[in-house]
Amino acid sequence: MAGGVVACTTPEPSSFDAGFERSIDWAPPAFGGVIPSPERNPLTEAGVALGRRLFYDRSLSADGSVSCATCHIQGRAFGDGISRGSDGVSGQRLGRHAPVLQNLAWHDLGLFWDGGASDLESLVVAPLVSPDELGADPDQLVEALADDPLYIQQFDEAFGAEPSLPLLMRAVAQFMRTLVSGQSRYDAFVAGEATLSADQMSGLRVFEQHCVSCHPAPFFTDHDFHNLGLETEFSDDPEDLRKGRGRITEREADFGRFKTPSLRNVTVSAPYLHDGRLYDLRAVLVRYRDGLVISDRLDPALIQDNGEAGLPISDQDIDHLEAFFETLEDRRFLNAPEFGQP
Amino acid sequence: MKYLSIALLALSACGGDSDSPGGGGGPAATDAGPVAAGALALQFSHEIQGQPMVVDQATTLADGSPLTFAKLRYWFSNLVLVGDDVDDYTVPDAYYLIEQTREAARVRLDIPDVPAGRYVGIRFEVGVDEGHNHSLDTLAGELSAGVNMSWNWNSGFIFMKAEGEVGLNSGGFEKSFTFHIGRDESLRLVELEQAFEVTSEAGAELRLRAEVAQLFDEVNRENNLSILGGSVAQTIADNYGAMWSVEAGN
Repeated sequence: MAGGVVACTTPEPSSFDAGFERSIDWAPPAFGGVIPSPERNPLTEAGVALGRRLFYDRSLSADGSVSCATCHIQGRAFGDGISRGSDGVSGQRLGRHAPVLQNLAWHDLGLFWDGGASDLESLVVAPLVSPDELGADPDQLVEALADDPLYIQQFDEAFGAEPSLPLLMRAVAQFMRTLVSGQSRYDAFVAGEATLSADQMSGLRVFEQHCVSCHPAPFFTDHDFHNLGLETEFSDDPEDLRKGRGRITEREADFGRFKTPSLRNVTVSAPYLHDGRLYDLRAVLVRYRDGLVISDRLDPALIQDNGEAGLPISDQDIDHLEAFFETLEDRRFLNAPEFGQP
Repeated sequence: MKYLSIALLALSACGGDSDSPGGGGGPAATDAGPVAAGALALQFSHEIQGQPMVVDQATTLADGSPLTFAKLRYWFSNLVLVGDDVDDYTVPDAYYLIEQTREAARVRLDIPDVPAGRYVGIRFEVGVDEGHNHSLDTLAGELSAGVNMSWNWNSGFIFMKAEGEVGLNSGGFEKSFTFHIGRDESLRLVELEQAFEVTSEAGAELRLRAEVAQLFDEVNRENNLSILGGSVAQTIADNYGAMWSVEAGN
């Protein structure tokens, strides 16, 4: 908490410097100055360090070939650059696109594209044991951790306890909470420390007119679930995945709703949408303009006053939006050594 | 009414501080010094029409339909011993996995440090209370996301798994059934009356009988028997809330 307060009152431009000394739970002032954590799992230096090691450790997987970082690559805002990856231990293609990992501490409506994971701690076990991801056997994994003197020491420092599955989940959650991206050119601009080009300024205006209802600053997502009409069939197979939020709530009104992704670092985190079907950011914008179809399910925010589906934006607006999105790229976040392989 | 609110208080107190490493209560103590305590053994007996259920052993429902269990697992939680001449005793950190599968049998609990006294019954839940059901990293009791009794894609514990084969009628045709029941609304509170006494010299034993054929009550076996949610899940939850009886052991 103290670190957040210090950072708030530090004169610019040092608040955007890489080497600034901060407490482990520092967050940009616009994010509230501190990374929120559940009471049962506060951020600690030792916990985050342990979580980081686990995040990058391939030996967690069934055959030693896959770590969290296999599909969550820092330079891609911790996405994988593939529509539906097949880098898990089974080699099977996943049902959905690997989401980026940034500013997750503020996702208060659940994690995953459908919000099914209630918090980051609970999320961790899913890819860990999924046969198409790390495929770990929890008992064997905990045994292996308890055979590693450094892990024993790190669990003891972080939690005062021996390695266990729940504490592994807590450590990885702690590391993920520290993956904060809020130092882009846009953020410096808002703080009065940088300027935007004329095209970027025009893009910001288009953005504020047409995009903010679902992608509000400072996170550029409302963390909520919306229907873009991407899915039209909601079969049980495979595993109800196409039902989106409706898979979790079992409410038909939620069928086809997926979580709004943040637009931070959107220029480096292609492909896009819950199944990664579009690799080109411009194609996504064109789809918002030309590709939407009126239906009962389409989110009302995507229906114009004249009753037509889609955003009324010109080609030039799209150019400007693309220019604006460049200002949301946070090179500090994408290259921060403390987020990389230990 | 007063009795009920006290009971709820006891339940929530149990959940409150059980989520810290190394937590969990010892024997209750008062200003007068440690209370004399003894042990209570709970022996679970899963039965089909009064006969012990044996995994993979063919048996029948009351209407003659064939029935074979391959797996029965459930979270047994929030155990309270209802006092007669002593206070109700909330067993600390009481989240236990009871199971009968091909690989494992866990049908007995030994509860230590029960305050000595006369009790008139027990109260427990089948499933996991809402306060513990949505954080899979909980440290409470035996709860774990690593024992195939949780939904990791929709954070929550699976309260009961029952799997096997069951027939539509006495004609012999069998189909597989898979009941995986969870979610907050499937929690069932069970209250059973049975006098027993715990002393520091002699432990008490209770035999908890569950008539597991009752899981099929009001379930249309002609329909899909892969039940993971929906209204049939609530019928099955009602059934696992109602299938219990208790008698003094020894």
